[in-house]
Amino acid sequence: MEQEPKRLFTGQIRELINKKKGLISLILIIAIVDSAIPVVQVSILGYLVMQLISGVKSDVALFLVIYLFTYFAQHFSAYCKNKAQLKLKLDFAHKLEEEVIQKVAKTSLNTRLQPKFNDSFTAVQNALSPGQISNMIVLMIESLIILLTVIFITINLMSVSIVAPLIVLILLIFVFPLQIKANNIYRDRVLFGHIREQNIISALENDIFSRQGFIEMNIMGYYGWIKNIWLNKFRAFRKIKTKEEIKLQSLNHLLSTFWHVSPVLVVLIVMFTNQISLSQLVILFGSMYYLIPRIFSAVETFTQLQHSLGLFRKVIAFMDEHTPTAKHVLHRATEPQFIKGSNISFAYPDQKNILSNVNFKLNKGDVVCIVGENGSGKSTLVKLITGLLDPSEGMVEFDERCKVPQGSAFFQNFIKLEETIRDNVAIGTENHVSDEQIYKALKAAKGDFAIESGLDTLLDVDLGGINISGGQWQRLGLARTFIKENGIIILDEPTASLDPLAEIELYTSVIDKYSDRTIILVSHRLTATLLADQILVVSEGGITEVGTHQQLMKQEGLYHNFFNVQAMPYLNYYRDKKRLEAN
Amino acid sequence: MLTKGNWRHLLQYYNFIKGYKSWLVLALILLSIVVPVFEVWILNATKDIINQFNNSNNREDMLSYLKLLFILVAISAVVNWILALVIALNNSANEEKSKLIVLDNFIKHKLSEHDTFDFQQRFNLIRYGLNNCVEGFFVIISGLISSLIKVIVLLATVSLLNNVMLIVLLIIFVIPISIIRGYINRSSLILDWINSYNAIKSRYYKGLLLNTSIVSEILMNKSSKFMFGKWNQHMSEINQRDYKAGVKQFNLSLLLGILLASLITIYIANVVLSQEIIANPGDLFLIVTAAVLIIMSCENLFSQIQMIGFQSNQYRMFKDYIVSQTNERSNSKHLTASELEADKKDDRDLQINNLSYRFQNGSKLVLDDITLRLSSGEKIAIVGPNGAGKTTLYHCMMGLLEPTAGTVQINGLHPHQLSPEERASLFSPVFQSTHLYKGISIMDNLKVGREIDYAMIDAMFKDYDYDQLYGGHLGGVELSGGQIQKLGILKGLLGKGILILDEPTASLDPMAEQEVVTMLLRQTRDRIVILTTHRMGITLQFDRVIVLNQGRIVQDGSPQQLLQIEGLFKEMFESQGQIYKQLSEVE
Repeated sequence: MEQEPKRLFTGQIRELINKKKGLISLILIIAIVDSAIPVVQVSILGYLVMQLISGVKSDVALFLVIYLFTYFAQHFSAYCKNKAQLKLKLDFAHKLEEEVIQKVAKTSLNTRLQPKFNDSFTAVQNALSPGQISNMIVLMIESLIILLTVIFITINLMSVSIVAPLIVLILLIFVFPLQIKANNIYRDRVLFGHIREQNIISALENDIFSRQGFIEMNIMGYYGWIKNIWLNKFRAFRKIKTKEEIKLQSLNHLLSTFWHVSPVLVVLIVMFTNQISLSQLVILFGSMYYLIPRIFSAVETFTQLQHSLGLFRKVIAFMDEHTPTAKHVLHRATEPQFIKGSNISFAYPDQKNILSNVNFKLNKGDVVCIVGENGSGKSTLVKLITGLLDPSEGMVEFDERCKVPQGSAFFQNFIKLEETIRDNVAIGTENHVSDEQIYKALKAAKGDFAIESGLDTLLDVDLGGINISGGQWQRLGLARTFIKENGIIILDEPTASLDPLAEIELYTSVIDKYSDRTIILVSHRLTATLLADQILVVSEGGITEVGTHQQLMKQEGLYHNFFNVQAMPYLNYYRDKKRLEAN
Repeated sequence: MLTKGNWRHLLQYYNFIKGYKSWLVLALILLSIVVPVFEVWILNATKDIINQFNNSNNREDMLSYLKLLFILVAISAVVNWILALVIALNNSANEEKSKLIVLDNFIKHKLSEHDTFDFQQRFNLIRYGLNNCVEGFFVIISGLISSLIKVIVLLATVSLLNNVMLIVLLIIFVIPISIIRGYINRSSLILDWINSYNAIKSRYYKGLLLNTSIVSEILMNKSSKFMFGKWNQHMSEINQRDYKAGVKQFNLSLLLGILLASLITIYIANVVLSQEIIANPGDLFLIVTAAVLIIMSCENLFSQIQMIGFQSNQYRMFKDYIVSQTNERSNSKHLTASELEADKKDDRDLQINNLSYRFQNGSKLVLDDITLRLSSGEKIAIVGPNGAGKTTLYHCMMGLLEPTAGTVQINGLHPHQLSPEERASLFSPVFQSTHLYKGISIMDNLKVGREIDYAMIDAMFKDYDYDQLYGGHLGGVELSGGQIQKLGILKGLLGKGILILDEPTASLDPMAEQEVVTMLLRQTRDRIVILTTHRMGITLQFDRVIVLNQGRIVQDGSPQQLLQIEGLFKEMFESQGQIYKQLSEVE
């Protein structure tokens, strides 16, 4: 376990204890009262019976009052316990969840990990169900109550017969493994991820119940087919699940039979060995009926606690595994004069290298264009340059004065926030942003439609907001990038869904307004290289070509091919036109 | 709450899930009658033992009584076990059934005109809700029967003891109080969790924060503070409300609990202080235990009724959601066979006549009087500025949206009147982002249930193992964005009819783009191909270009023709072309 995630957990518990001392001591008092109540009740019943048989009724009224009082105490302690738990939940629900999500949000995850991530997160969700920390505390207190009760009752039992607790102990030794086994079956079923068929079914279901799936089924008419596939897979899974369920139920009933039968058994055995009175019998029966389920719930509480901690450990392990540390991003303050990478390699843990032996140097004010084949590692390179990822080998250096490429980014998969236009543009700014700044950013991104409809226009269609097109969203995303006054600008395929006129407008506006900023552009459209001071060609996990457009064209490598393929229709057109004009 | 309307919903819902395994239901009901009877029997036996003990103190008698008790408990345990198994089997059968219901209804959804983030999440919550609902139906009913029988049997047993005070106390005070307690023990907060504003918003922000593909943006733009702020704000409102509801419930529960405790104690005092009962401590035991059991059963009974109300609400929500989202194909008139025959003449022919489309809540026409006719083998490219209406035109062509005015006809058929299966033979689509199903093989993903031409697959990807499962975390294969897009185009090519492509090359590198377009045109000699793109260079390989602007066709002709005249196409082409020209001149 790494230091930080571990601290996260212990820190939570410590904070809870510090902040809620009163509450926790209250719960402790309740625990002691709660555990004593059944013992008192059983003893009073035994005493009452004794009194009744002997016909002495002098103390009966007093005992009845005490009996009534125990009932009140029982209800009141349950009330206090529940309310304390609610209060704990209110104050601490989502605290831990928030910490973990924050941690996850700081990690740079490979998008291909998303399915695996989702699976692990199902486990995380279980571990972090609302107020898990407070639940754990309550669980611990509960187990304390149960333990105390068990001790009290055992003492009570011993007052009747020494043999009884011994028999109980011997019986339990046989039953404990069964109980643990039953708990484990349950845990496996709840935790999922243990049954491959379950994963397949849930992945398939998610893909079926999606908007894209719906559109395709409706157009391509394969609904019946996919339904059958689902049904077959589901039946296969159902068989396994039913088997597990039967196993679980059988075990559970074996156990419950045991705790129903064992009091009778114990009384039988005790009667063989001792001569006992009716009041002793009442105490014996009463105590047994309290004792056995309490012991079972003790085991259950412990396994639940273990289960929660196990899940928690899983979360932490997952975070450790998939958190390529991103130190730089968090504490850099100004734009660096240069960013230099030498012999950089990068791989996600236990996977093969995405990039190997990469060298680059970027100067302040450069426009760097990254081009390359699909899946060659362009996005990873961007993350390395900006410090979102740390290389597995080699290092990225910045000039000394500055610790950070602070910056802003536009990625293909940008957030389309269902809030106001203002929120969408100003989402990452720390201080208050004036309307003028937002207008300026919107103008730079050619988002005039947003200025027309007003900054407070809601974009949540469900709440009566307006519906804007993909191109318009893209401009809001770009405005978000332009609102910061300094720092690197990252544009990942900024023109993919822009029409040609908007594309050229964007380039001109970027050249006009941000000539002094470092801009990193990733694009399949080589028109972007017009802006570039430097072009990096990424191919098969390495930078194969570096230079300006002219230099790269002379090299006649991948860039040369790319450019020729894309430019050919246009160049032909101009050649023909020229020829026509000449004629 | 259980109202008349809820019962009605429940009955509808029962019709909805008909087709149960009837022997399971029968066993469930039967067992729910047997189980409580056994429990009361055991109680009676215990009473006898105590009385016997008090009267004779004969060890031999005692042992035989205890043996009887032992056997009774064992048998009851077996019966309970069988009940649990029946419930398990029942649940597993019903899960399949309920999922099928949801699946069948999902396909009837209306295509929403906007893409809401919460669409899938909300639908999922509702479908899980329905799942529980189906699982629980008979189990709840059997629980209801069980509790009812227990109360009746217990009351009968107690009344045998001729204790008037007890019966009066039970009927007038204890049972009503237990009912109220049972009622308040279940709250219907879960319903709010699906539809309340705060719940939707908190889910929304959490979903964003946990989406790995946008984590980079959140990090770079430092927007996590904003998002966490929002998430926390909505979350704390939910918690606050839960807390208030919880405290209210506990307060009431405490009050009633104390009331019940007092009543029982008063009663016991009465019994103890009266002389006749002292002779039989077993009766005392029976009465006390029966009183407690009756309270528990009453609470149980009424929380089961509460559950029924809750479930019927779940069902109603599901139904409302489905109805509000379901396409009504009421105007669908299927053409007669002879009409179909007559139309067959225009083989593979697309006609769009005066097509207009307006969104339900919109004032502007998204498509305005579009007329277009394509014949077999024609390859056309549709270009136009963002928001010109390209996607809407596609959705109208494919029958996902019904035209506000005008008609779309393919081979004389109106796509929006056809069933999905009928549409499949008219066209095959390729989307900007390809949808592949995880958990099935790549080949199945390409075939999607159709008969396909394997030669075409070989032509596109040689030596590729198509039988691999798709989905890395399932032990299958992972694909890169480029690969997925190529498979998407192959999936389209393997289909029949008109090929409709929506910016299929937007995420491909230049070489891959060229490769794909060439292959596309080569493999589809006599099919109509319609493609939208922002890359003007590609359009030169097409027979015909249609320029769409603000919902209207502004230009129509071969790309070479359109380049000769001033207009939007030339403007767009040159705005891209001049950059390439500039770049090549720098050389």
